[in-house]
Amino acid sequence: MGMTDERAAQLAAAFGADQRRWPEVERGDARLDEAVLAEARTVDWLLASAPTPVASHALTQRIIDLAPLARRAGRAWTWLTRAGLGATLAGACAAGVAFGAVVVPPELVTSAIGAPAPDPTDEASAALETPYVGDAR
Amino acid sequence: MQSGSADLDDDLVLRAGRGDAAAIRALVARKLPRVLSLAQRMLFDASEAEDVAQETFIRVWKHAPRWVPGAAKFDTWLHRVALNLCYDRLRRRRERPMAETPEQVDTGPAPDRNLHALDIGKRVEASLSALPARQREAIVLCHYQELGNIEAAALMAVSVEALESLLSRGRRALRASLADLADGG
Repeated sequence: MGMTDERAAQLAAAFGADQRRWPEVERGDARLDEAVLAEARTVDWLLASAPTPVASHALTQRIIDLAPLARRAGRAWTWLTRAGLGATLAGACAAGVAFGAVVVPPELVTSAIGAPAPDPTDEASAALETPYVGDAR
Repeated sequence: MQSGSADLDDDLVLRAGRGDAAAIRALVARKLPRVLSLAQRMLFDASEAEDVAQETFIRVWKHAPRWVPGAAKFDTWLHRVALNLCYDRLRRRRERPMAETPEQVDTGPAPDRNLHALDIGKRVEASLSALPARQREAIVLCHYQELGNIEAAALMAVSVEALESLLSRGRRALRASLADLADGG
């Protein structure tokens, strides 16, 4: 299906005279009116006249130098997040066990699960001491 | 058009995440000009643009070890991060007293019509900076960053029709504010 002149003019007004900048599905068979084309080219020329920022050597080197530090910080943050989540879960477990200990007699708990309830503080410290061993994803 | 390029991006990010120095340098060479260009054209302040570029890459380095190839396009993710940092700075600017806003270039026509390319560039830059923020953003993403309409619209959280409208209005406003250059050039 051919494109209408009106649609071609709309596309030129939005994306410019160069059809490579148009939406992929609408490129190809457009025929642009000379006046529309000239107008679009003028704006393209204006936009192309704006200076292009150039990254200084200092900025480039600073960003490269920051990579190992930022990477380590990112890994430490991941470790802390996971450890924090572990500690939170352990805390929640501890609270649950403490609640159970108050409400339910301890002998009933041990007989029900067949073993003494674990010391919640051990769990919490174990979670905090678990090293971050890398990214599984 | 981007699949080979996207694959290369993914490869570089993964290697950078493992601390590969060559990949880190290659990724900076490949993406810093794009990030800096985006930030400069959003903020029109060279120092702030450099800060945004640096902060964007710090996030890249932090994220790289956990990057999942194929889950997202790296270039789009990079634009999202840089754009958000630009939005933060623009928001802070609006909250600051007017006296502290960056110095703006005179947008009026120059008395000398035989302008040098540098002067023309400065006038175009000034006119771009005077555009409504969303129109400018649309032009920056589509024209300068060369993102496709769907990708740019998604980054701006607007429909492709709304993006097209922003582009048309932005280009028309730019043309009008630089009529002396356009008609004389």
